Amino acid sequence: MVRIRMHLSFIDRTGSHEFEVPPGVVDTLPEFLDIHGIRSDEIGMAIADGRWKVPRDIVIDEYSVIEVFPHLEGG
Amino acid sequence: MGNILRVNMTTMEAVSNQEEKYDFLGGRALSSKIVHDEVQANCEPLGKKNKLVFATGVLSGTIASSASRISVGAKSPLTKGIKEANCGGVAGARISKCGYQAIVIEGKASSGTWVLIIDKDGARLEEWSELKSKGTYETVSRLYKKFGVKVGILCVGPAGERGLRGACVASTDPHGELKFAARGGLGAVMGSKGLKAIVVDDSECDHIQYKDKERFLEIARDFNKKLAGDPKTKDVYHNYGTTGIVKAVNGMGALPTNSFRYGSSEHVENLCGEKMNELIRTRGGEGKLAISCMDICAIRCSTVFPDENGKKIVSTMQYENIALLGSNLGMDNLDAVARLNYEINDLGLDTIETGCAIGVALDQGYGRFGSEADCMALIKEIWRDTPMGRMLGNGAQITGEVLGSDRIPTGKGQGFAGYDPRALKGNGVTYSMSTMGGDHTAGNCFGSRGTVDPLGTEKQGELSKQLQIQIGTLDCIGLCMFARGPLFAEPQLLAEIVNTKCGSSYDKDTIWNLAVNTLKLERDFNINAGLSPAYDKLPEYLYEEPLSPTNAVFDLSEEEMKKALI
Repeated sequence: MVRIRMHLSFIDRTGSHEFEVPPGVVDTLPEFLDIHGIRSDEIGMAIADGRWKVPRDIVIDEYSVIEVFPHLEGG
Repeated sequence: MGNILRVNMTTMEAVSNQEEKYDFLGGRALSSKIVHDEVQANCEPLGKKNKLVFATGVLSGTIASSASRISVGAKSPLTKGIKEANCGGVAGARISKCGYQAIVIEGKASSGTWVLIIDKDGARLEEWSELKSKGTYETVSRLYKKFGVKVGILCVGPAGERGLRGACVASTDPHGELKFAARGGLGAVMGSKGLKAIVVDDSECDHIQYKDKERFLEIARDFNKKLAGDPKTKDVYHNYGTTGIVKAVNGMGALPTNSFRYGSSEHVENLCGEKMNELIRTRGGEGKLAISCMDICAIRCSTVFPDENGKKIVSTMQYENIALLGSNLGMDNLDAVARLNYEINDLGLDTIETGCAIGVALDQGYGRFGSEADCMALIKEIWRDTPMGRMLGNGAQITGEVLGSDRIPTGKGQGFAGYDPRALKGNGVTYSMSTMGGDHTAGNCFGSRGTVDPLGTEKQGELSKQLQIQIGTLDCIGLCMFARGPLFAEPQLLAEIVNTKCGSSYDKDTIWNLAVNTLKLERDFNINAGLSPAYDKLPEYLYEEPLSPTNAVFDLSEEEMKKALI
């Protein structure tokens, strides 16, 4: 089971802070988010098992926890 | 474009003239050009030869959103190099409407506490001895009482008057809250000249000039609309301000924790933007989200943070304050951060620098991480002007040196912003190679930066360089860095908005030259000030001490670092 955690506006967009995704259900992170109405160009940052990753490269089953953020800028 | 107002604090004279060599320059391009051309690079930063420049942006006072920041420049008493710090507030627009492109403070008063008043009749100095040693909030309150709440005020607190190298310049916003040109100790330069405050009253003044007003207004409205509709603006800044990134930085392992000992905080759920949003909404009262720091700003990233009874503690709660006064000091709640933040604001100190300095003191055993009482006791030392307080108020580098620390989180003598450079290596490049030292605003590599891995050892130099140029360009125009979305997506829009206002002829390729030329001048000043390339480095402990949870060290090659040079 992979946990996909939404942050900030993505919580409202998807209606949930965390999803539990069984293995083999969906391949990539953009594919998963697309199901929930979030386009790949709206993904700002993703952290998989504590490491920054390019969102489009994330294969969901390779990780335990994936955190997804909208576009952000440093303050 | 406007006149340069020169105020000589030695002779108490104020004179304004159009100065051709500074035509078409604004913001950081203007403040750095004046400092480069007029300040002896090896002068004493708190002496009479240094000059303090307040430069308006080229779009200042217009309807363009987020474009009226004030750029403050001088030789820094903290880095010993050139420094530019800019902030919001209403003073920039007020100064432009009074017909001034910049104010240059020269010389040094022999005694007294002085206020510079600028209005439709010109500029004059008045002695205000009752403001001596007053905090920034009390200073603003007394000046509002005399001049009304619509004026713009720039002022220093007791830290600036005492020449503490962590001192900043405060700037009032449309709601009477304070914003800060915080970095580099520029408040100490202002205080050293005997200047406590500048009051700008633009009643009956409208000296804004346009090359093509009709076209400018058309483009500016288009820009404002695009900025207001940007998802970052409406989904992130309006709800969380800059605190929306706390969890992301923590997740990357780059959140300064316990004086940069760790890269993530166990208390992040209580320190994050979501928590701030929840507390402001549920506590109600004086708490506010999405307030603007300039007259015209679509971004509205400022907040008012209330206590559990709804009474205001501080405005505004920002990412950097949460990072340096929160996780960096081991705090586990936002109320403590807000209370520390208020005290440091009132002293007129930079929260980043002071947070780093207190962190170093705690790391050396002068208090406990996570104890608000211990941190507040150290801040009270600054209020009481004790030797300990003087050390802390002079910043992280001096604090670390006095206390014998070999792990001082500084770049060119300036405390790091809220990103540990081991886990966000591009920022390590900016902290060490940029002209500004440990300052994220010089080229922050956090964010959506395509495919550059923050832990990777390649492409970091080029990334930092590009960001130094991009953000430098916004600084040179006087724009907020958060306005970058629509402008970087359409550089032609950026060029056109400047051209129709000023009559310049930039295009989408040459607009960036504003920053390139400025950054070169700044580096030239630093070299002449003695900041040779030997200073382009980070503290040694970052190369050796692994940072949890990523266990990263700073391991970029010299060759990679040099790619950031402009």
